Amino acid sequence: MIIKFNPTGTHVHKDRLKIRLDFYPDPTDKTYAQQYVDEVVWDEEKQETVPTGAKQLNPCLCHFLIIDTDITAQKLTDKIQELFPKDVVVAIDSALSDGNRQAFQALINPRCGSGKIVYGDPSNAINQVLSAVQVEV
Amino acid sequence: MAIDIGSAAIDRASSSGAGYTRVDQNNPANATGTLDTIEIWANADMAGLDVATFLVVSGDNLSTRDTELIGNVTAGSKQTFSGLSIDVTTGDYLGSTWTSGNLELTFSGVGAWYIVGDYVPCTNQAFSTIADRTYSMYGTGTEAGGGWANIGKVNGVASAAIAKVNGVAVAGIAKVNGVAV
Repeated sequence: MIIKFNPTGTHVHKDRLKIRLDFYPDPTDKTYAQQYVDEVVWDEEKQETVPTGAKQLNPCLCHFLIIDTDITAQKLTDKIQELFPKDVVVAIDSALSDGNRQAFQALINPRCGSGKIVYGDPSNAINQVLSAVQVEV
Repeated sequence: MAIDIGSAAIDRASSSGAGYTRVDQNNPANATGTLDTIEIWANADMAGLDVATFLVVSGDNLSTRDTELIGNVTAGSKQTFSGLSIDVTTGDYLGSTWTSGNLELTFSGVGAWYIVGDYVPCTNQAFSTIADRTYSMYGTGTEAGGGWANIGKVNGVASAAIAKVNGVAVAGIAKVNGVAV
């Protein structure tokens, strides 16, 4: 599975800085079949989506992590590897594929991160620092 | 107890476009606590999705209780967003606004409140209503003071009253004696 930083989700909530990590399954992962879908575009004339003929891979999970503002690309990479080792990711993939909410919550709830109170909104700066973070687990 | 709010994030027959704030009148929250997971099924790639819990002030006037940014949502499959912390009270409704793209929609069900523009957040805002609407937007979470979803007691102590087990803080515990918390 590949875990990528997604800048569109960076925000401050309840005075804590959160970033979004998107989990993309490998072809051997259970959620791959659910997330490898037909690519569509909106047709203004038809007022509906139409397939392009291509396929796209969607993330099986988009997880928000609380971090500190002094985060670096290396620190985030290390944190991802610490929180989401292979065995945990396999279990998350299985729980998502099976629709097992209880198992999923038990795995994900201890992995939401922590950080100091943030003043202002450092989202733009954080997005620039973390834009290239991508970890294969 | 597990909280749930909103309607299943599934592939539906129709879709709903951007430029509005919409609140699903189906399945209000069944308990008070925190939503930690939101599920969305987008019909066309969505951008700038902001979700919120809404309370009815009176009539069709609503206020947001809490909001959180989701961001972009890719279309064509159920998308799961975890690590959230959205306050919710029994009877609240789930709503959202986004800047582009479409959300899956069925022309059936209870209906929705809606207003043109971004009203996340809002306070005592008058909304319009429309019947027969169900959106693919669903939230789950944990009841306040509810402890763990699957374990009621550890060594005779209610899970809601436990801070640590064998020296480990509860926030870092996934299982106790092999049982998922």
